[in-house]
Amino acid sequence: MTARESGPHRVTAGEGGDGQTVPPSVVNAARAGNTDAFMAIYDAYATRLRGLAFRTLGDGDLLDDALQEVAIKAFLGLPQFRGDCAIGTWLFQITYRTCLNLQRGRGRVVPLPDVDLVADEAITDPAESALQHLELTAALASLTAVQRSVVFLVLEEGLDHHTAARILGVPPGTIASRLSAARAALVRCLEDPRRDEEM
Amino acid sequence: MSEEQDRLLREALRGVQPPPPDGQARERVRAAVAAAAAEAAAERTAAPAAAERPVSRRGRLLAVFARRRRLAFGLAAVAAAALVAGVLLAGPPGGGGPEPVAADEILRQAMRALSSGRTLTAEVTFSVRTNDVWTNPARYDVDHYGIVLSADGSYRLAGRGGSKIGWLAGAGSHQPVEVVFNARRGVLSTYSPGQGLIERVGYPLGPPDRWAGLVTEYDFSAAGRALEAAGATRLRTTAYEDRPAWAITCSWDSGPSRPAIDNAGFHFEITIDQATAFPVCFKGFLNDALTLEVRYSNVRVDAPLPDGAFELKAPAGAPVRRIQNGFRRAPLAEIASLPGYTTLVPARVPRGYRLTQAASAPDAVTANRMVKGRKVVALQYARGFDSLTVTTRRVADAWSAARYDPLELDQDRAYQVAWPATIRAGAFRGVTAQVVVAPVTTTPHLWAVKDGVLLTVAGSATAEELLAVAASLEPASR
Repeated sequence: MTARESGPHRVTAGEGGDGQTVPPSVVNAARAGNTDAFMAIYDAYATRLRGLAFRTLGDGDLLDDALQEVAIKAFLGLPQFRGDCAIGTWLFQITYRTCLNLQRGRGRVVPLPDVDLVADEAITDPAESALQHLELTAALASLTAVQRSVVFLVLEEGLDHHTAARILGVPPGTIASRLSAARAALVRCLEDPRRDEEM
Repeated sequence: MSEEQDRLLREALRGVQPPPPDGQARERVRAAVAAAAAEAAAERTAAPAAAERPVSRRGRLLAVFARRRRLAFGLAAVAAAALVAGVLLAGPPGGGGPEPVAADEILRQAMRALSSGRTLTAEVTFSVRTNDVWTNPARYDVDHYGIVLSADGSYRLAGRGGSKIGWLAGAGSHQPVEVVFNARRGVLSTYSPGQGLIERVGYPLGPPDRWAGLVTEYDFSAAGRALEAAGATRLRTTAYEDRPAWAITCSWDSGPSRPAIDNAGFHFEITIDQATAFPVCFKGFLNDALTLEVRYSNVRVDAPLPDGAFELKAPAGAPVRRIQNGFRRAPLAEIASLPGYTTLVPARVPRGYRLTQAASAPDAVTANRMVKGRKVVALQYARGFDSLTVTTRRVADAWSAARYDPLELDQDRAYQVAWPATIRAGAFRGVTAQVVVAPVTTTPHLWAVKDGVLLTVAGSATAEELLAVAASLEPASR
């Protein structure tokens, strides 16, 4: 369990993206069908869900559609939420699966930045960070949806492997292997972009 | 990979963030949620009869809830399993009582007893908590019913008054109801004064076919296997209605060889009367709060059953409806000769099992309601109260069929407990199966997809036995 999932109300509540806690009374009201209460939960997690959706989808094209679908699924599913995990974990699960289905529905199209364009801009752009940004975008796009999701959950969100595995529906060992592959691909972007030219 | 590299990577990733939502995004979400709330409320108001209810999104969600109730029944039935074991351990009631035995030995005895049982009758009081465990005071729905069970898979439920829980309530809310399944004829009958008699003919042989899941409360042997797999059992002394008793507690023991389940605080307890060794009570807890309780009385094992025990006739003038579920029972050789069907037969099944029925269906929806299969073949094996069902079907969406647990309505749970294993031989050689044997689901099972054919093996067996069955599949000789 991560620090984010711990706490006196772990069964029903979690900590929102901005640090606020969702009280059990709000969760219970949302379970009973109160849309205002549900929106309070949604607001608390919106930034983090958007982050996971963006990574899973690979781009921002369907982001708002995906999050709208996530909200509907979560609202309708909340009465069945058993409270055996943090509500944030549960929302991440819904987000991940929804985005995976959406991505699958559009034929797994993940736009890859044009390699030549990256190279050209690298030559003309003196700002190393801009180059790194482009390379990182390209490297992220080259990963699978699961790998990108692992990167988000473990590296960016700081979740432990078991929680990430639960969200993605894979064994914990798979998290380690996919994270390792993703790291290997991404870390190259941290290296000196001119190294190849110098060698 | 150093922590410093991870830190640098995190910093770099902060530069690749999603575009900000437009100004109306939140309002659109709010409107969509409000519309969904209104739709759900309307569906609740205008829900048609259960037997004819279409599978809507709301309906699927309700089904998830119903499955949890059924899970409760399934778990409750573990108590019945242990009860049978208790009979064998202690002999007739009134004896000197058994020597204390280990909890896992009790479960093993139960499994062995179930493999040879013939009939079971009992009166049951069933209580399910209706509010969340963090809400006080606790509230419960309580049902009273009688059960009669036969080793051929037939059963009879007789509600003793208004039923609120699970399958009983599904056939006629808050009204006396009877449910009878005649396994030999493949007919499931329900009767309630409100809905009359409903007969489902061509009922599926077993999981994962949609309607079969409705009776998992009688799949107690399989539930017992799952509890056996939990690995963490302990024995303590307690009291049951002022009599000394044993309590066996089972909880999931995550470890290197088990899937990790965030199941903290969830455990089950079976109470056994020390003087007679009869298990008399089953309880489920979440965070030490009682969530369900099953109390047994007037239990008889292997007693003769009256003629017509598994027939249900409606009173004169009561409405009768018949629903075709599509499974046609036939000799295996006949099914194997059907053109276009993939009839795979296991060369190996666990010791004691024998083929009791074979059936085909032109199409069927799996219990998760996510995969529609065509040209379904189902084989059922039995061993006392144990049963094992092997099915194959053609699926158009192999991706979904491979990904989603065909037995589970609740995919969140399914994701947690399934683990991959390679089928080493037979027609599915080299294919990765997903295996589920865990106390959070009632029926041990595996599923795998190859060349557009979904295979399932489900029933009372260990994970190793399920895999051995899958690895022995070969096309049936025509």
